[in-house]
Amino acid sequence: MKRLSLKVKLTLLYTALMTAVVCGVLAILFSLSGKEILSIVQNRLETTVSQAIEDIELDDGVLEFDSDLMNLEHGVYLSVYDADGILLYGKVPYGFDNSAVFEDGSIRQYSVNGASYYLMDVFYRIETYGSVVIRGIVSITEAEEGFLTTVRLAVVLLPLMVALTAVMGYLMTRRTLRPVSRITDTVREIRRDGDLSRRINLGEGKDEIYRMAATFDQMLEQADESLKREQQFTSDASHELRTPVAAMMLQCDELLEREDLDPQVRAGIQMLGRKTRYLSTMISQLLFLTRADQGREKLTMEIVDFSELTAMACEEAAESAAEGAAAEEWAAQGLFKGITVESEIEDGIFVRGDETLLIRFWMNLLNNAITYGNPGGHIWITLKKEEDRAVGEIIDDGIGISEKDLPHIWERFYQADPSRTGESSSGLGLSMVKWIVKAHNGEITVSSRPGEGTVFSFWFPAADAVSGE
Amino acid sequence: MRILVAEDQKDMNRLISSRLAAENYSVDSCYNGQEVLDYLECAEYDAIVLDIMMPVMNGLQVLKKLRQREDHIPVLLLTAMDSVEDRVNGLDSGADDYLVKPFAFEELLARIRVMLRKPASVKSNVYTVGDLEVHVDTQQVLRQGKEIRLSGKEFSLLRYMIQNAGIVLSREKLEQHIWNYDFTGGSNVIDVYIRYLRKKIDDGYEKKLIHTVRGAGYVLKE
Repeated sequence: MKRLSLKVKLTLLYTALMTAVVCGVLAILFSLSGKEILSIVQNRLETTVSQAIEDIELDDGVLEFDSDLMNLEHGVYLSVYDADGILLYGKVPYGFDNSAVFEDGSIRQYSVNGASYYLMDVFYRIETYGSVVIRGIVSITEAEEGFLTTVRLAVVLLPLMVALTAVMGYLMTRRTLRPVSRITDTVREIRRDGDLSRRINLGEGKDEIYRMAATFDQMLEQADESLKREQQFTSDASHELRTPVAAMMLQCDELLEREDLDPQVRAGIQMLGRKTRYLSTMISQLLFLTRADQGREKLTMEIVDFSELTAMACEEAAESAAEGAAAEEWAAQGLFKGITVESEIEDGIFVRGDETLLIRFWMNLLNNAITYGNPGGHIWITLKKEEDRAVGEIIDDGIGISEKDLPHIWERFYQADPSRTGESSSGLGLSMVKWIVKAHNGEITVSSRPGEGTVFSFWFPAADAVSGE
Repeated sequence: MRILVAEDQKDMNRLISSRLAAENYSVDSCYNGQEVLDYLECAEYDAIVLDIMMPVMNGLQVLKKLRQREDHIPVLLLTAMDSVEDRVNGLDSGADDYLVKPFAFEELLARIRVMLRKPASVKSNVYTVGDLEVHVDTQQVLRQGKEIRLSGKEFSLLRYMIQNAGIVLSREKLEQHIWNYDFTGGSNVIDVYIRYLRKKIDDGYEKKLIHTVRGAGYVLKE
């Protein structure tokens, strides 16, 4: 019962009630009617027979019969007999066995040839003539026929009425409950599109459902405004945070252009510059993730040669692992990495995605591997096409991730080993990686052995270079 | 090329911004005059699309302030149909061009292309360095007559570099002009893009056009 819709439940309920009521009424009606009809028939018989005497006249010693006697008034067959039982006038129903003995005044029931009859005799004395008997016969079956017709009619009409009630009831209920469906649909759409600016807008109305819709709309209004305020805050924060940091970077650059700096001072300013750049990166990433949370991050989708992109990213990482800006930072910290990057990339794998974000994806993973790598260590990149997927791995022989930390590495600001990170990564790199993979409808997993290394495995849906499917 | 769209009607602003983004411009949006000044303080823009009717500070006031402090950034004014006075004032106050609302987007794009012609002596939509041709209207790139396929961002980068041919562009400058505020930062992404461009434009040709200047940035020249 639980799985039926409200409309169906209601319709079944009153259809059942209707049927019960109608059946009950009809039952009573019919049982009474039966008796009613029979007594009416009897009355008619009595009346007709009693009045029949008026149609007999004595004229000069001869009995004259009015032809009205043959009229079958009310279906009553009249016949007149003399004292010896000889038929003088009238008729008898076809096939009726008229052998019944005369009995004055009582109504008797006879069944002949499957048909039932009421029979009544009345004795009369006609002056100067003698006695006559008037017999009236009426067919019960005919009366019953009439009754049966009514029954048949009812039997046909009742289901029709029930069906009609059911259909009309269902339609009416549906109409009344339509606003409910509309509310449900609107809310569903809002959830699917994340568009809080929509309203149910049921219109004017006073009943409970209209009030509910109006209340929902008010709630949506509130939620929408709250979200807008949050978005405004994120955008304002972006401004506020960036301006001072930009000024700091400009100042550092300007200072570094001077020729007359003490080496120690120069090193100090460079350090400031690095920290500022790190801060700037972190702010950007944080705001990116906030926007991504709110579903506001817009991707510029294109058909990208993912093989080429991966190759470029690897080359870049290889260079910076050996000598680039990152290496400079590590040198400044007294760490020499010397990590080699090797790749095995299948050509011609295309992916539908945002080029910048895909580059970002690789750079974050590569930087991570470098950060958590051992001096003289290795990074291996593989990329190949499997059916309709671009499948890849980045494997390193770095310090690895403990089992305890493994499920948490995707979390924001989670640093498994704070001493290692320094300035070359924020705690947000992997959060971004995870988001980028998801935004491209792919998946990424990680496995690791502490002291031995880590493997990140991922896949993206592959695209056809030409059709873009 | 990075453009700031200043228009207080959010729908209109969104339309213009997305249309420009589709043409591979980087776009930031703001909704009143004061915001224009704020945004300009935080980033480098190549042009501003400026509506006159805006709250807090209107377009003309913003324009005057900019020119007063010697900021010669190209400005395209958006004006309503019935204000000749605004247009006259706008041009006199230092706007480079104007467009009357409602306007066709194609016209907006063409006028912006004109406004962004650098150096000022260039009078067409084609930039050339050596045997490299960049058509900014059709977004085609040719080297020795052969077409080179670039992605949206790659094209933006090349366009910016060729319009500033011979000038050394730092990574920060490149970042500022190719991406808008939503860019996630990180200079090695720029390095990868340069690598991409090198591979597509310089690989296989004897003359290399993209050069690295250590400690300073990159430059496109013969």
